[in-house]
Order: sequence, then structure tokens, then C-alpha cells
Amino acid sequence: MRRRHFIGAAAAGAALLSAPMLRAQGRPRVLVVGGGAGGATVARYLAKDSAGALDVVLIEPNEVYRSCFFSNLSLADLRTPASLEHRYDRLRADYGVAVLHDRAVAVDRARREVALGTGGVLAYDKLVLAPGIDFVPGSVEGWSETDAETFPHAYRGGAQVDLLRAQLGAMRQGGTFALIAPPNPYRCPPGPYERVSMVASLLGRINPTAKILVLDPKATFSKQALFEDGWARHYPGMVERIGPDAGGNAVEVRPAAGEIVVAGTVVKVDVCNVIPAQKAGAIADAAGLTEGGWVPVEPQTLSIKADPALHVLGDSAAQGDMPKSGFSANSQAKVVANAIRAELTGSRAFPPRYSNTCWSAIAPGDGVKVGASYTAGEGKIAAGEGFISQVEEAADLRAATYAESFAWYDAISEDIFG
Amino acid sequence: MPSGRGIHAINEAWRRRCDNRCLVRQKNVIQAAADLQNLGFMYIRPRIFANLCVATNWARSALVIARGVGGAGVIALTLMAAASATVASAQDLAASTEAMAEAPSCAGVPLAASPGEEPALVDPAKDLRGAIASGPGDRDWGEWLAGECLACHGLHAKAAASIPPLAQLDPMAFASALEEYRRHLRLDPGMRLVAARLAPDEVAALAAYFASLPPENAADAVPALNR
Repeated sequence: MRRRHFIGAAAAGAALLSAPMLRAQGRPRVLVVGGGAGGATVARYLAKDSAGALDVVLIEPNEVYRSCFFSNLSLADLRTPASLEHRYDRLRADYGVAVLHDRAVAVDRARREVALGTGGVLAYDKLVLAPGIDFVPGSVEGWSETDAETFPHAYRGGAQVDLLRAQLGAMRQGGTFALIAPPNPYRCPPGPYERVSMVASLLGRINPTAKILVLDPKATFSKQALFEDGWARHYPGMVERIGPDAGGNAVEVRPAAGEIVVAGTVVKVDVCNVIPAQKAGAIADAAGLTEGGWVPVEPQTLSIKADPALHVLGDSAAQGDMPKSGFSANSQAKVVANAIRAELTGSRAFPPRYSNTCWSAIAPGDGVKVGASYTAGEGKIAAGEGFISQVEEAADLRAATYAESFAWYDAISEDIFG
Repeated sequence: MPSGRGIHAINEAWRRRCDNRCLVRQKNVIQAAADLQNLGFMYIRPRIFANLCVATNWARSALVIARGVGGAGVIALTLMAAASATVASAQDLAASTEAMAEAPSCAGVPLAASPGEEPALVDPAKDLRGAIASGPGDRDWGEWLAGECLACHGLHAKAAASIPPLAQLDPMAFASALEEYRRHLRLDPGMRLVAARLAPDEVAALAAYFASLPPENAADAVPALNR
């Protein structure tokens, strides 16, 4: 791996050569930035299917990936944090992906080079950006990322989720947990509300007189009927949601004082989870690709219209109708991998095919799901047929859906990381 | 012929979702309906079929079913013979039909479709099992298409996994399962969506790919839908 790294850095000048000339000299290189559900899937499928014909390099700062999906379940102790950890060993050993634990800090699109945080430069024939999300500064008055140790966002997995769990565990009896939900569009549309459910499950067990206050800038939200029905059944009286009509859209937070201000009223909170407005990961901005915070992409192959050597997928992409989810990123990644491989190696190009399913846990043993198929439509990925769980479903079916989500987690983890 | 495997899989799915009392009754009707469908009668509506079986008698049921597929008396006679062979006894049938009436409240899971909802009609030109029978599918295309499947299904069995693994799937059992989703004989809405979108040649391609995958161990050599 390291050897490849150095070869790659030394060969940066080769980026001046056209792709066909590169191929004549050696394997075309695909750089993938971001080792989450989208990026790791692209890297794995490219390496697996090209059987050595491509030099696949994955740039990801973290040696251990903690999935954001299912992190809510760890708040209710339904998954251990360790069970959400994934490493890149199999991508290296079984598929020959060169994994660099580094940060991509700049893209020179004219030279087809990516600058790394440690100072190296890597040339590419194709570049795939899958950097996930960043937070929009100032979107919640009084909060910045430096406050995340006090009022955690817990929205990119990992230590922030553990911090939120620890704060909830230490909360005084009868205390108030506040969750500030983000405006659209954002990662995992049901995520904040699954989080409310899982926190309610935890508090019902360890702090049954506690209250949950949801401050929401949106009038409606994903799976709303299912969540509200579930909260009433499982956690009666515990959850109160304040929508935009009552000030949920203009909340000020005061982390140092442990307060929030809603519609002019100061509310003392014991634990506060601030999920800010979101935008594409920083490298997308650095590459000059964003419009309105996200990266517009072509629906056929998630390429950039002005720069066909570049693809952007997953949460960062403004692709149309697909929700920002790990499932969507994984689905998009396979389309991108197929398109890149076909272009660089002459393998068969298949028509794109997209799908998404999002499971949510409302309570232990009570799961719901929503899903749809998608097609590459006119100017966007367009939603086709879909389905959603129903409010009146029987407990057996909910239990089966809940169990199914665990099987899905195992399967998609294998599909992403090998 | 029909696939015992497909029927087994229906029952398996139901076992997970319905209580045993319901299952014992329901599976008889479903089995009869599935067997008839596997004989080539694509438009059978299980609920209508079951109701007719109670309200009238076998012969009339078969005639109505035959009319549903545009068949004539000859077909009806053939069907009657086949139907007689596939259902164990009149007593079973009565019990099954009673269960059909209860089905909407049976663990809250509708049998084939909700009351008032017509079960999905399937275009006979989209004959999934026929596509399998007509020759090996395009494995490479199948490998591409399988990307959608592998977001939820593993290749190999894991303990207690409630989504079946795909390596070594028997092609005909696979096609039968998808056909049953397309007809809403199986319940999962996600798989109904997947099955509705797949063309016969795509199913054949997928089947070729799954069948080509090596088993993880000897136990995996057993077609997964049999479990």
C-alpha cells in the first residue's frame, strides 16, 4: 500500500498525459475520496470487477469507520459502538485497493491531481468524491462545531455519538433532553426522529420522568405518522415537538449556560443535541463544485457535467429524488463503478439502476421501513414506485421489520467493506 | 413443475409473520393456488379462489378460474383434475377458506392483498420461470444487477439472518419466488418492488450469477430458499 502511495506521488506528473497514454504506460488510476458507504463501495466494486486492470486508491482519514447508520441504536444500547466499526483491511487484502489514511485537501482539475493533507499529490484518471456532509456554520444561532463537546451533533457517527450517550446516561432524573432537528435536505431523513425514539427508549428505562423536546424547522418530516404513533404508544407523554409555527425554526442555543431560547422563552436543558443544517463535505467546495451547498451531478453516472473525469456521489450530491442515506450512496456507488470501469477498461456498461430502503427503529422490536426504486430521469434521478410501513401494522410484522434491519446492516456492511 | 421449493418459501415467509394457528390453515389455500399457477394459470386470485371453494364446489371454482385466464371447458376439466390432485382434502379446503376470511386480521398481515385490493395481475409475457427454462442467463449482466440485491442480501448464510442469502440459489426456485412477489402472494413490499421491476431476461441473468457463486462451505450447497 505504502509502496503504491509513493509510486503514485512520484508519478503525479503523469497526470499531464491523457488517459489513453496513461493506459499505455500502466494501469489507469481511480482516486476515491471518502471511505464511507459510497466511497468504500466504489473502491471495492472497481477493484473487484476490474481484477487488477485499475489502480484504485481510497483516501480516507480514519483507520476505523464507525457507521452513522445504526448509530441511533447504540444510544439505546441495542448495538454496541464496537459493532458499528469497520476497517479497510479486506479492501486492501482481498481486493487490492490502496487505502491511504490521509485527507484530500484540494483538487486541481486542470492537472487532474489531488493534494493531500500530509503534503503529497496524487494524479488521477478518474476522481470520485464521496465526502459525506459538513455543517453549515451559523445555521443554529449560538452553536458552532467548537460547542460540539457540550451540545453534540452526533451526526457523523463515532465519538460524538458516544458522547451523547454518556450525557444521556448522566442526565439528572426528570431532566430535559432537547434535539434540534435540521432543515431539508440533510443526511438520513428519518434519522433525527429515530434518534428521538431511541433516546426515549433509553430514558424510559433509566430516567422515566425525563422529557424530550424536539425543535423542528420543518412542518413535516419523514415517516411522521409512524414515529408519532410509535411515540404515543411506547413513550406516552415523553416527547414534545415544537414545529416552525411555534418557534422550532429559530432556536438559539447557549451551550455554556445549558439553555435554549425558543420563541423568546428561555428553556433550561440538561442534554442538547444540535443537528445543524448541512452541506457537501469540504473537499467538494474546495474543488469548486457546489451550488447551494451541494454538488449537481448527472443522473446517468453521477458525473460532473463540466468535468467528466469527476464523479460525486452519496450525501454530497444533488442528484434528484434519492434521500441522503448510506443505502443510496451504496446504490449510486455501483452505478459509478460500472461507468468508470467501462470507460477505462472497455468492459460492458450497463444501464443505471438505483434503489433505497431506510429502516428505522421506533422501539426495541418495533421497526418500520420506507423504500423506492429510482431511475436516471431528465436532469435528475427520479423516484419510481415506493412503499412505506403502515401505522396499524401488527406487532409481529414490526418485529420482523426490526429483525430485518439487523440482517440488512450485516449485508450492506459486507457489500461496502468486503 | 411447481416448485415445492417456491411453496416452501411462501410458507417460510408466512411462518415468520403469522402465528401458527393462521399458518396451518392459510398454507393449504396458498399451496393450492400456487400449484394451479404453476400449471400455467397466471391470473388466479387466491382470495376469490378460496371463497369460491367454500361457496360452491370444486367444479364451479375451476370453471371460474379457467374463465379468468380466458380458457374454455377443456381447460377447466384439465384444471379440475389438477386441482383435485393438489389439495389434500375437502376438510383442508374448508379450513383454509375459513382462514382466508380471517386473513386480514391474522397477525395483521393480509393473505395476498388487502381487502378490496386486487392481487397484482401479471403480464403472462413476462414469464420468469419460462425465461429460466429457456436457457442460461447472461451471468455478467446478472453480476451487475445483483448489486441491487446485495445491499440487503448477503451471499452466504449468517446465523439468525432474516434476509435469505443468495449464493447457490436454485434458478427455478429463485424465479418462482420473484413470480410470487410479483403476484403479491408474498408479502414483503420491498421485494414486490424489486420483482415488479425485473424483466424475465434480467431474472435469468441474476439466476445464472447466483447459481455460479461458490458455496462458502458444504452446507451452502443446499439452495438457500429451501431453508
